[in-house]
Amino acid sequence: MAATVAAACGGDRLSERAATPAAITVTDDVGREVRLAAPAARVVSLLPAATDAILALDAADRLVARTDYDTHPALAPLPSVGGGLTPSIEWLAALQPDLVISWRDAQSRTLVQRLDELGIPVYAANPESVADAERLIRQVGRMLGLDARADTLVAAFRAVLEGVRRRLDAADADTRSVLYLISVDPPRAAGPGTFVDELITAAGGRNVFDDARALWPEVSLEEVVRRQPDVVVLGVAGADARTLARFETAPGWREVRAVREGRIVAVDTDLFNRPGPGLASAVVQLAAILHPDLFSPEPTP
Amino acid sequence: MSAVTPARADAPGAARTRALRPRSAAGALVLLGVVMAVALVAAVAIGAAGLPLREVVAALAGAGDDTTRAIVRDLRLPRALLAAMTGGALALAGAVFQALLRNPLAEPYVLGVSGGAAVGAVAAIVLGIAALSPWVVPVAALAGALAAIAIVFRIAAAAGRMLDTRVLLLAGVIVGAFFNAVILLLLTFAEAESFRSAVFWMMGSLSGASWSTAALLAVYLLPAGVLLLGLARPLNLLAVGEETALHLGVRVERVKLVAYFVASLLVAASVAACGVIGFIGLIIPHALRLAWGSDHRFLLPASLLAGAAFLLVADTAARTLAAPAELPVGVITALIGVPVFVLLLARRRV
Repeated sequence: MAATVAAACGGDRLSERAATPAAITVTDDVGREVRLAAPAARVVSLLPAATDAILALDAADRLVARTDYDTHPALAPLPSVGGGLTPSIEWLAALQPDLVISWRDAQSRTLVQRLDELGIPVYAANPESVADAERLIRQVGRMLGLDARADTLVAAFRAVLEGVRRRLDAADADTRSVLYLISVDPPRAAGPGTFVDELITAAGGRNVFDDARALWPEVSLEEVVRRQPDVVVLGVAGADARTLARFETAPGWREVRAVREGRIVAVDTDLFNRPGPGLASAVVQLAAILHPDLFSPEPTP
Repeated sequence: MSAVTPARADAPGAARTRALRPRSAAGALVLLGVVMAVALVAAVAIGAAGLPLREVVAALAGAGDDTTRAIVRDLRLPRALLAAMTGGALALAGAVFQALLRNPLAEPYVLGVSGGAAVGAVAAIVLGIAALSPWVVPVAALAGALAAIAIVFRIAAAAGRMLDTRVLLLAGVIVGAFFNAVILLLLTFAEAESFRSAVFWMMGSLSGASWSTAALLAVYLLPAGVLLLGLARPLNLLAVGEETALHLGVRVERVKLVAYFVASLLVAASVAACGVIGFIGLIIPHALRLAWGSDHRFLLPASLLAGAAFLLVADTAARTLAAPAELPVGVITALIGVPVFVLLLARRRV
């Protein structure tokens, strides 16, 4: 793979690209037009979901850096930019990328502008829903010149969702109420409009906080106890058996029947908390958690 | 404490002020100028991209490849200049506030400027309008800072004699506390993404530096710096006491009004450009007083130079220590500044 990366280095330079007409134009999540003269060959993705999309498109050799969250073995030889939230712009520029995929937030907005001024195309993304995740996969596919592969990937993802739905319908499965936590202290849950909310619905469940006003609301323990979810899912990085054991003795949490009766599970956050191609496996795993009688549980990696 | 507070007629500090020979003050200024220049060169030479010095020099001269030229001329150079100007502006404003308020704990943010700026910036981020343009946050921060200045001076004016030091300080503190509550309220309703952005903004960073931000701050700093440096003599007398200054022919109210207003605007501009960077405005003037005495004819230009050098060093550290990630520069200024200051304080011989 190192050879491929080295070969790609010889490609375009900043000034040449500015002169050539754009062959690929896509609109990013803040409405900016991203113009590429050719399919991106040296890509830096600060978004793990986009990195996963590039891996799923079988284009890992286009990546020239990774973040600390991208732990796929294929990316191990690449230099890491760190957490990806406050990257050094000059370090990014020195890599001579022909595409940077960045966050959309205000902090990243200055990064986008600086890179823009340097003539490095930036795609700012902010995937929140399953539709956003599909759009991200398609847009990344277009920018890499892999449109067909991206379409296949999205189609396969939809087929998985459809398969799960059909099996649930066929068995006339009960809808299980689910509390999905992304943080324990303070408890922060998935709210409506998030991909996790859609994931829960697709897996034959109902988000107990689907009436919240925020995307990722901080919820009171009292409200959790009152709503008595059938299943508690921990999408918290680093959660393990010990975390689960602590719940059973924690005041408040032990008043939740699901916790008392052991219907609390920790899931792989790399899969569940990234609105990317991993969502297909996440739906299947969640369906197996909610309806163990209908779906054979897949082992979490 | 007496040597820390600006000179009083009967305090040992005053004796030292008199003992401060022009030649030693000039020598100190030259020394600080050299340190600042070295820090500036280092800030341009050192960075996460690890360019060899030869290539940096070539890029400055306009040679070398496009990427290196872009890194040196469009990223490092404006950022180094912005760091130097911000550091200088904060230290200068800190020295002015300490003299005006006759309070050793006074610093550039004491009158609520940072709180107002933070409310503006955080509101813009949380309400989602910050993503529209990179200029939204600086403009919102500037508006918030100006609003804070207006409110604090309005309160001080309403409470009686315009620009009463104690009333101003109190107004600054309570307005700051109120703004703090507003920020926390905004953050409570913030999404994870905007929460993160807001917290990063409040820690202060120079990563947004560009030629346009550097130019904007320069537009503020040049006239403000000249005006404030020109107030050195009246500030010397004001530091002794307003009555004394009045008897010695200082137009106290006018000097105070100009100094407060100009220094506040300067701080507002620096906060808009790079967020809240603490400790420089508090520690640099004190350290200079401890080392060379408190004559403002020396202290103000020295603060400008030393503040610039200090923020250049701190930002170079912030850019490189955890490279290729960047650290919040406010953390570095406190981590370096506080121990150095404690050392200076411990070595003080009065």
